[in-house]
Amino acid sequence: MLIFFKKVDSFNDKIVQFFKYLASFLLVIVGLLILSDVVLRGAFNKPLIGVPEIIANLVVIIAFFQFAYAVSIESMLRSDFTIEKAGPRLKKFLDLLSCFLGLIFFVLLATSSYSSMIKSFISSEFEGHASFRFPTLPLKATIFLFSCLTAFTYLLLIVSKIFNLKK
Amino acid sequence: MLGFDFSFWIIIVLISLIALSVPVVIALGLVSFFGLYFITGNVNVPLSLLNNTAYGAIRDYIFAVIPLFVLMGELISRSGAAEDLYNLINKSLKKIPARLALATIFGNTVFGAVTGVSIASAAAFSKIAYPQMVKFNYNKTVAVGCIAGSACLGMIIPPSILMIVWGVLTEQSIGKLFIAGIIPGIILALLFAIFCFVLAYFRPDLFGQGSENQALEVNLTKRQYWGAVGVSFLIVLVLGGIWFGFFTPTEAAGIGALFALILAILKGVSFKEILDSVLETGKISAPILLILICAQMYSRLLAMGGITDALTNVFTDIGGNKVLILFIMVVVWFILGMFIDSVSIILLTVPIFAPIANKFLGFDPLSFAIIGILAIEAGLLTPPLGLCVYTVKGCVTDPEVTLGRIFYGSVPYWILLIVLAALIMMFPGLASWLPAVMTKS
Repeated sequence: MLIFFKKVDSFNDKIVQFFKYLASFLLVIVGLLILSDVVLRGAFNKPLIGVPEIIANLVVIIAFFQFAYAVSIESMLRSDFTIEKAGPRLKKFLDLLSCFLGLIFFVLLATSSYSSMIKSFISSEFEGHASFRFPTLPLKATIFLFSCLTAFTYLLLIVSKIFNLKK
Repeated sequence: MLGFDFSFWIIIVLISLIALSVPVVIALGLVSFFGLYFITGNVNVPLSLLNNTAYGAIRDYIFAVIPLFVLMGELISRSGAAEDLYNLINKSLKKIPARLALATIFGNTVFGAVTGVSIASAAAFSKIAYPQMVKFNYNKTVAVGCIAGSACLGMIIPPSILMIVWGVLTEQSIGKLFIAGIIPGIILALLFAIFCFVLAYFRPDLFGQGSENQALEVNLTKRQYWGAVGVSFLIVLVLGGIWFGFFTPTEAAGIGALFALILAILKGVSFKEILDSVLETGKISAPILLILICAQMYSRLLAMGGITDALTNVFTDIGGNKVLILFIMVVVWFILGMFIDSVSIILLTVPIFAPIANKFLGFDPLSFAIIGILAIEAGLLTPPLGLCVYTVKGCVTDPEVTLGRIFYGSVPYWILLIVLAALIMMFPGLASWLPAVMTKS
């Protein structure tokens, strides 16, 4: 059982790490896109079409790519004045409570985004204006899949905390 | 509209969850979800709102400003530019009492203009300034108090993550908020400097009897000069670009981040460190972006549950005195600042306080934002959980520097933060004048 958990945890960690790096790469792309847009607009009065729309969507994708990572390293902002003063058993209980509520939240987020993603897939939904249109599916799928990944990361954290398996 | 009882229970549940160390964003998200379910009695309503919020809340060009400004600060921190600035300012303050303390304050002022997070300043200057101060016999309490206190300048001097979050929540121009922070930031730096100068005049023993001026000769290498010049240019580029309308805040952040990358490469920062900066940016900004998603759910709960109206009525019932209400808000911020981080405080309180201050009290929104940020920052220096104090403690390895010592040394600085907040309450123009000039020009 322990070996199975470690395998699953290690596989999940690899996925989380991969998307952490991909999000970092996308962030650099965002910077470069903005620079190109500003330079082309300032120097040649020809801004890149669709840059604001691409960046707006990339921000959401970058954020969702990083949520599971933020959960895995437990960097979600929290007040720790109670936990610092708590004994080991209370501390474990509070940690588990946080993870359990986090799991519920991301399951709700995944549930809420599922039907919207399917609808977007079936109807081939597009957004934007005449000169720049883009499909909504990639973003909706990102929200659903990465809510699931974050929920799963919370689940692994809960198991590791219950059985004192060091992550 | 459910009124006061509903508001009361929502706030109690939120505070309880936060006190139980549940991440603020999870507490807010779940309370908002189940609060909306309670109001509507139909689970599909909060599910649909959650879906719309996740899809639309941060899907805007403006939100790229958060990771990009964080990246800019990270790269500059790792380039050693804070040390270059410190040395350059230190060199130019020859023969002045409390020279090292003043270099720390003014170094933080300039560094604050390229980083949006106080903790980054506290960490950088703990490593740079503290060893120098100890070397020249500064009282250790004074030294660490000065470092922790002046780190707060990072949040009031633009670009500031707090201002971005505040602007997003209250739908104000982030560019104007940045400009509104300039004069209060300069005044705060001057207040800190005057405090150190006066204290050094009356108690030179606390500042090493001026030994720094006899013994300290700072020699800067060419690379250090260029580092300091590069940071100064970056500030002019980012703030000047926003001020003169060349760039939007997002464009300024994108260009600033790329310029910081070039500066970091020129300063010899390794590829691994650059990669670390980008990864650290994700670690800092992802939770903030999630907070902004939950903030929209929370705003909907506040609106549908009539919570803002209920609390406005409470304030009306206590007499409607403008100063008293503002005073209560400042006290709430200050107390919350002792326990939770600044972004979470803004998220919890601003959707409630801002409409009351702007519509009910008629207070200028920009001045109100600066007052709020000052009060929240003051909380970062107070026990039991002043974040800046803990950062300094984490970075200073001297066993004589206890948490109590840093808290004690920081007292004058948080008092000055509150004094400045009071000054802006009396003279809102200190914050609102510069943005008004910007709009006219």
